[in-house]
Amino acid sequence: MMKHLPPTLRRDHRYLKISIEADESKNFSEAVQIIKYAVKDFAGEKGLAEVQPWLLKRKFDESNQQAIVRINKDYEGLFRASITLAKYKIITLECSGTLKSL
Amino acid sequence: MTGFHDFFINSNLEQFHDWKEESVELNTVILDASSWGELKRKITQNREKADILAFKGGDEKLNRKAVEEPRLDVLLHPEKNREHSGLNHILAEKAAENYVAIGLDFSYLYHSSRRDLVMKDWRKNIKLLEKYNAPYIITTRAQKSYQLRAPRDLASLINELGGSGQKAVKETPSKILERIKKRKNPDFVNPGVDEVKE
Repeated sequence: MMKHLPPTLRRDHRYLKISIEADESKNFSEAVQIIKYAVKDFAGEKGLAEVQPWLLKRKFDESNQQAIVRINKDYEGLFRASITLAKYKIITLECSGTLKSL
Repeated sequence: MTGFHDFFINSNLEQFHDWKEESVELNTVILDASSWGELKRKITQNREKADILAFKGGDEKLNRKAVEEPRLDVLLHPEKNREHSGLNHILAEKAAENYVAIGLDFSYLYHSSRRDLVMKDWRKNIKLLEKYNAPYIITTRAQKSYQLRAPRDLASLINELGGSGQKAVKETPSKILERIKKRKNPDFVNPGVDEVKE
């Protein structure tokens, strides 16, 4: 097994709590598609590779339609801009550098 | 985000979201005109009663007239239905001189079939406005709850297009509010003219 990277060389994350407002409630895989396509539509494939959005399955709240997305720290602005122009209304509720504080 | 203002949304939405901002009580009038004479007449009619007077831009000549008119507060979407961005260096300079804020209309961008072209125009306009230090704001013009967006998200969109998001969602709207307060002062005569009591 390859040796782990030291903490200083690891990628920094940003965790954003988002809320999806649509007529029908969305399940986890639909939410993933919505987020992914929102970034891809706005920023293209290169942007998607830079933002690296990742929805956390265990934190997905289907009843309230809230989710936590992990993104690359340096591309928070690009992610926020992308979701403003998404097909459904997505708003960010909270933002943090650690998952624990959300 | 505290201090955020979106002047052109349905005021019921602000109360619904408990924003408790000053913009709730403002009387905003958006003018639409096809000629300079009509626009001038409408400005004269509405200036006294309106707190914020905005004009729906899009026509080349009227865009120019609007930024030269200090009685107007906001020129909305100068790039609408045009092949180019609707602003140039002269208009940007005039907008800065007369403090007419250029309104970036998010609803126009969102419902446009060619978002790339609208964003191209926004990028060009923002570049000019930053160079001449002219004011600009972003508005969702939301009439229903699902059309609203979070202020930080709107600011990020401006930042991505090369502008200052803070300026668009916070600084310029608060300066416009200051101007409204100044205008309501009984000593106020005209823009730049105050009555001095001895």
